[in-house]
Amino acid sequence: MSELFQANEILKTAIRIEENGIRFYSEAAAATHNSAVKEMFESLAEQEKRHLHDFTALQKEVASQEARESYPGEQEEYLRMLANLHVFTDTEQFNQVMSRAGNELEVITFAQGVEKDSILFYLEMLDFIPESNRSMVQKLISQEREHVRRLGGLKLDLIRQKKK
Amino acid sequence: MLEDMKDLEAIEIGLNLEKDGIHFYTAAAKKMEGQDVEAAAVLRQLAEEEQKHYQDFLKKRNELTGNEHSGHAGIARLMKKLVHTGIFAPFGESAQKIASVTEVWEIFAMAIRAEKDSIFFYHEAADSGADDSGRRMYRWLIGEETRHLRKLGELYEKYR
Repeated sequence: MSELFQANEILKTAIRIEENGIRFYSEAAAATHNSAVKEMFESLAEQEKRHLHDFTALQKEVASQEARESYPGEQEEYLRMLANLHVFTDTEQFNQVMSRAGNELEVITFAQGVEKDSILFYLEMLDFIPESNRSMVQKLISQEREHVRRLGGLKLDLIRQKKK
Repeated sequence: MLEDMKDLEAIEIGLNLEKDGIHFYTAAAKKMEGQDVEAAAVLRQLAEEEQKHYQDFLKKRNELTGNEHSGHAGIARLMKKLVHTGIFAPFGESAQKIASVTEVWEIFAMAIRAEKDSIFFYHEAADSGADDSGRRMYRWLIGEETRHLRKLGELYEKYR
């Protein structure tokens, strides 16, 4: 691969993921009539806004640094592939899910897939980020993992309610 | 849920994940045999590798319990919970869906989702209650499944 998938470009992808996350959770919150689901989506949208802010600040910091060392091509290629396979880069899929936004269980399942995709991308991008900034990205990863669990808990509640 | 998962529970789930992978890749390879020789060969290879991972989990369980055939009493309930909470798709579902797949890329999309779920789970398992050797095993499995994901990503991009 001739072009390096450098930190700046990686962070642009991370920013795009978070922007789409905000849009997704905001639209999903607006579309549901279930108050618990609405509250959860609104809360996750707020958290993704903070992530967007953090990644934007990090990108500015990284952009101000001189081009650093190059990275192993294979890992770089894998990261690019993860970006391409991230569900938020698939507009068609995004629109399909949003067209069924009234189906909370389906939307939550989609959201969990999104969060897992983000976690895998952020875990791989750690090696491309200056060492001094890695703890910030690790903190974001922990929060995304928490999102998967919170969404899981909500899903379980909905399933139990349906059974009653 | 995952944060307080015990070593043995994680191994039982790993066993089921790998078994699911074997069934899925075997069914997918069979489906592809008449359509695409290269894709079928890759899928067969992936089934063999998941078989090896399954054996590794059996060995690890044996190390912990001293009994190759011991199961974990609460595992069915835990797995049901993990499916309901969206950590995994229902076990066996993807292998069943193979029959209705019409496009080659759909098989790879399903496999990619399953591999991503496995990688996510092995990260969680490595960070929960695993001992040093358990953590090493999960790290190794993450590397293995990542390799699968790379291969599947290439095939997905080729056929999509």
